[in-house]
Amino acid sequence: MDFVITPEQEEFRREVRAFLAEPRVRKAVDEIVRYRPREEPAVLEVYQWLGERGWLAASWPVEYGGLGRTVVESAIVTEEMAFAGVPDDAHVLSIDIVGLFLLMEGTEAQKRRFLPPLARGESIATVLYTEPHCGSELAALKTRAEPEGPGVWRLYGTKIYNQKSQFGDYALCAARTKDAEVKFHGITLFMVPLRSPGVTIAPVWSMENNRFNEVVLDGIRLTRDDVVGQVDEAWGLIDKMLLLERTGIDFHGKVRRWFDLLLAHARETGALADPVFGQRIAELDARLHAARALAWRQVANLAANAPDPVGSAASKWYATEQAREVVRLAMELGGLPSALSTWDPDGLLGGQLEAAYRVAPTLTLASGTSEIMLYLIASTGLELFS
Amino acid sequence: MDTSLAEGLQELLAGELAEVLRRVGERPMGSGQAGASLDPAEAAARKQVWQVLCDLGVPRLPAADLVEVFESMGFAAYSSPLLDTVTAAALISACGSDPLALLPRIAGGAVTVALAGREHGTGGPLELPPLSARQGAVTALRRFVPFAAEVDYLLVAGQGPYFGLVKRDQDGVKTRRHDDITRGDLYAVTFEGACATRLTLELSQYAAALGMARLLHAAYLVGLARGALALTVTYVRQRYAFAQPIGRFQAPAFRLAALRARIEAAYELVRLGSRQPDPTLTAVRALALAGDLARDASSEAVQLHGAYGMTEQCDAQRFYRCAALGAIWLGSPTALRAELASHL
Repeated sequence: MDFVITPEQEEFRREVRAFLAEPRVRKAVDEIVRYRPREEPAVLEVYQWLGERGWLAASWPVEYGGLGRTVVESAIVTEEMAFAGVPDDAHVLSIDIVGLFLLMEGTEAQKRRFLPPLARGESIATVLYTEPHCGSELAALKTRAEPEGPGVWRLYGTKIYNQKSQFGDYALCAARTKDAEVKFHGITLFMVPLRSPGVTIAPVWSMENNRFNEVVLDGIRLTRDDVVGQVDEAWGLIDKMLLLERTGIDFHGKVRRWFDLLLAHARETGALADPVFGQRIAELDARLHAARALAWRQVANLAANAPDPVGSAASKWYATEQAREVVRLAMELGGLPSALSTWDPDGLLGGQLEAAYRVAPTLTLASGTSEIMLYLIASTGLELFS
Repeated sequence: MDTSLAEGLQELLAGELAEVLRRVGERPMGSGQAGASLDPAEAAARKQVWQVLCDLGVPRLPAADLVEVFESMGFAAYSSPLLDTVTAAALISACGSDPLALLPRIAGGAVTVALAGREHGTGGPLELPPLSARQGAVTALRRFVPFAAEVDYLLVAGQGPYFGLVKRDQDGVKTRRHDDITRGDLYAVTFEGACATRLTLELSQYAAALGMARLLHAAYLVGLARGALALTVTYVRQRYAFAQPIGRFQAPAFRLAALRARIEAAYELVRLGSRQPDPTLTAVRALALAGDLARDASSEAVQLHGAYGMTEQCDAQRFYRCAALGAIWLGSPTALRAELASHL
């Protein structure tokens, strides 16, 4: 299958790129880089500016706030945001994960209720999957939705390591609704209102600038209207949506941005011309071009309605595994000033390399760890365990 | 190594105290310019640990024993002025005179010294920056000076070469704490006509002292890797996924086993260097290996702890951040490999 971006899509990329280069956007991004410790971006004005154009959720139908374009345009926006250094966590969570779930599996009422504010960049939706005792093994979750009557539940449990929930209006939450011999059965997805009694959100501080959250769900009342998809049958849905989420576009974009920072620095200092460093820079440049090609192949597969589980796992793994080497090389090239943070006046590039070093490990952990990606490739792709 | 020394180190740096020591001296994120002073209780704890090390006779140990001490300190991710203090002692010894009679006091643990030889922190450690030294007064800016706010003396180095001992507690010395990835004790130091006592040293003598410092730092990084590995092994034994401890899955188990083998090999190279009359080249080899090793082991620690490994509660991220700085402190692995190649 050949994949060609149309001239219209290229033009769309140029428009997005030009917008993200506007002074007001650059100013907003620079302000975020200089945030004080423990301060993190919430609902960004940049999102709202993108939302005004219908770009934030470009592939969504117009009636839900999108442009009615394809996944290609969505991927272009995600990629250009990453290249431009616009924080994309809330965008990925709200649009690429929760929004996509609702778009594909939500009821018409849910779509009309939740999607427009997300597409306008006015609201954030987060994901509540992980629990203290289970990360990669999601089916071991203990959060329970206890039936209170027909089509009514009370939700009890603790979710952890989620991000942006402190700013979120709703979260897509996985909970057990039925005990089953096969643990993949009996799980249901709910849209949970985060700003309501029965929901307590506490920070779990991390070494990176953005915090994790612990969300305690203590008896919050949910109804059939809050269920996304079918009751008890969320597992297949989660599996399918993880596939759609994992193109590798966003991950590659982040790593490429860090690489471009180090590349510009290496050009300026002459390190690029030094074979000792030049060879390593060139190797990483080649790998990142391959990562991007692989990520766009997954977008092409989605555009053709033929998602490839093995390909998307490979793409996510390949792109994120470059992060470690990129941030290490950046620190070697930058020397000791690259170990200084945003909050030190001597920090190299405003401390961006130090911040990148701290956040880099999240890439091989989020949206399925590297180990899970390799398991998917080995089991499904190579059929080694069958 | 003397048995009592080994037992003392074990008790101090490898027992339950190790978990406490990992956090001693760590400030909150972003506190470089404000709130830089250490909590009084932590400052007292740090002094006590230093005193125990001195009581064990650490500052006057021979190289073969010092590498064991540094490896143990790395295991506990414990940072102290020891590396710069013993390096300064080596430099004072090399110059043949001890004008301030510091050597006995260093040996007894009564005096600590920090090296102030970097201005920008981007060149090699032998590339000495400019300074002004007139009539015993030094004017210069030095960055990345460890423990500058609490040591007794600063050994300022500059082009010439110039080496001078500066009493830290004087009007002409001002310090500003950096906000670095370890959130520890690095300072920018401004010398404004600070009174200095010059040491007459050749650059080659500085290079020799640096060679030993690199060997000791390599030992520290090997220890850091061992500490990160130990933390991870404990965790993967108790963390269950898919009905078994995650340490029983071969993929992570073999990765951890490979780290163990690399740690053993790197440490034997460090030990070999400590027995050599001139360990300079061995130190380059060992530090290149140890820098990568510390980064690999600590990255693996974060990865195998999962998101928990990123959190402030978990020491995996502490090892990860310490390794980031440690791996470039006296030459990055890439720069060290290039340096080594030029000698082969």
